Amino acid sequence: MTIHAEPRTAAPLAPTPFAITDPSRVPAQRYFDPEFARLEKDKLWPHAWQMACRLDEIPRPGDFTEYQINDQSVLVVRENEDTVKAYFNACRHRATALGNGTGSFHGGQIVCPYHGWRWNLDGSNSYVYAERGFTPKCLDPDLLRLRECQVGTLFGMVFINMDPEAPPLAEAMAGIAEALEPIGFDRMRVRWWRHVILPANWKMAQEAFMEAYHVMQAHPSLSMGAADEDYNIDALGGDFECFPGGHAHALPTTGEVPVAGMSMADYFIQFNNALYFGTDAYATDREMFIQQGLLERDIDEDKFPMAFFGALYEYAQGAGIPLPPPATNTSGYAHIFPNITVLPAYGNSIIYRVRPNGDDPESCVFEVWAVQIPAEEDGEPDRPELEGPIPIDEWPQIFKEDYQNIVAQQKGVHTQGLDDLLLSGQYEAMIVNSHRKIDEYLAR
Amino acid sequence: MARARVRVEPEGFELEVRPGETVFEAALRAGVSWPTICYGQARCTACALRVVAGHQNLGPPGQVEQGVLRQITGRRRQWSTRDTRLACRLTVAGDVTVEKKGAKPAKATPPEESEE
Repeated sequence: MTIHAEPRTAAPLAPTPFAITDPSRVPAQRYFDPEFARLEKDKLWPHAWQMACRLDEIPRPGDFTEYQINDQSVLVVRENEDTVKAYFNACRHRATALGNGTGSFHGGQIVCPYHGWRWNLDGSNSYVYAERGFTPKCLDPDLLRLRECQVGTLFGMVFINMDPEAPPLAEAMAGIAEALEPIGFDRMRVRWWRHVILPANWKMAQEAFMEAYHVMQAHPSLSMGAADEDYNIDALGGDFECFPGGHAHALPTTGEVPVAGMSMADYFIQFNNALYFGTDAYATDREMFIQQGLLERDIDEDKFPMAFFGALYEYAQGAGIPLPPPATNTSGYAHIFPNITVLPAYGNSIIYRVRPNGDDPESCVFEVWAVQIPAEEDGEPDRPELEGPIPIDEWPQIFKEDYQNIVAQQKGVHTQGLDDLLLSGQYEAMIVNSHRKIDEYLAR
Repeated sequence: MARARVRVEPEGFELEVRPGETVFEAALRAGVSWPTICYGQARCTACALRVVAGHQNLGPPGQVEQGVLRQITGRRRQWSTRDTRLACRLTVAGDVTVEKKGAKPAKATPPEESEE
């Protein structure tokens, strides 16, 4: 570490407001206090690796998409087949944003709409109109280069880091990169991509998807009428592996049926049905087709899931769908710090990304991708397009149930006398681990 | 997949346009010099062309292009709205003839054409 001559290292650090001292108690102000949101804006987002887009959003050289977080705008640009660049979205002349939304830069040129200055896709300046009017110092190529973010790719996603001093992506993703490798995220392509603006802190929205503890009460279609202790959360997944980087994943389940008195076959079928209708994300038509085929055969109740997976892999092989072998050390349900949560199942996944909506601590942009490994012969699909914002009431049932609870929580955290939220170190371990990592950033 | 041919007057050269590709992209790929200031962002209107024949093979104009086209056709009276398109947004499904002054063919034969 560099030792600076200035006295800033000697000055005592102000304690982080609303820091977590007991991991099972999360101060309520972390979800609405403007000062806390400002700290996140200054100390978390500009230094953390974060997903800026999917690789399939920018398939060809020149393709770009804009990533926004707080008041920052970054252009993620496909430079060539193998390289992606990320530039702060500002002309070096008078700061005009160079790109907006999603599109393609043609002829290898990024052009300022204001005075026509141009850049190559590698960020070097290629043209200054009437440059005779500027001092040579202003025309120094290094000064004219577009300002860059660090870029890395993982799981078919492009991650950026605005901090040039931040350790590389591979280091930041230690543990989770290996744990999720068997899932095959990089083979998946987008079926749909939708978003909603939720009146809640970004962490509040995200945490609704970071535990399965709520399934018994919040999702009757998934708990299938089993009330209270008749629904065994330990069988659904109560065992997490947490990593120092703030990431975590759920370990494989025991294979027991969570609903008391229900057969494995009935539970498995109803669970798939509920997700098919309740999320429109997974199960998909593909899995429902396979399940329907099995229903017409006489299969032992306990062996139904194995029969399903056997049929699924047989079907995938015939259809040229490159499903990876079943993962043995993870359920795949995971959090990628700070703001991605994934819920994969047999070659599909739901992916969530949550961001603060501008600087408002009580509004967030909540995105959902439904992705799936396509058949190889299908080729590359079109660039995915973001739908929405879709009002809460128009989402499939299971999402709606989650969103309504998020809104209710955001109301509750303001109430007098509620100083903190009480979390289970076991069932809510992913949330606890994520807050721990946030505090690490804020204390820097 | 079938490639469409776009004949560019008055220079009288031809471009091969791939499915989904714009006329402007095809021109850049072939090394053609085609007027532009914004490099394909549907802003500068410098790439605008006049359709002479093959209207039935034109891809439909999107909202952005329509908005920009209304500005040019309002400005240049002799340009008919239905014959004017932005090269950087125009896709074609079959052969088309267009007029674009200032579009100059590549000096050497570009590799794409010599492959045929």
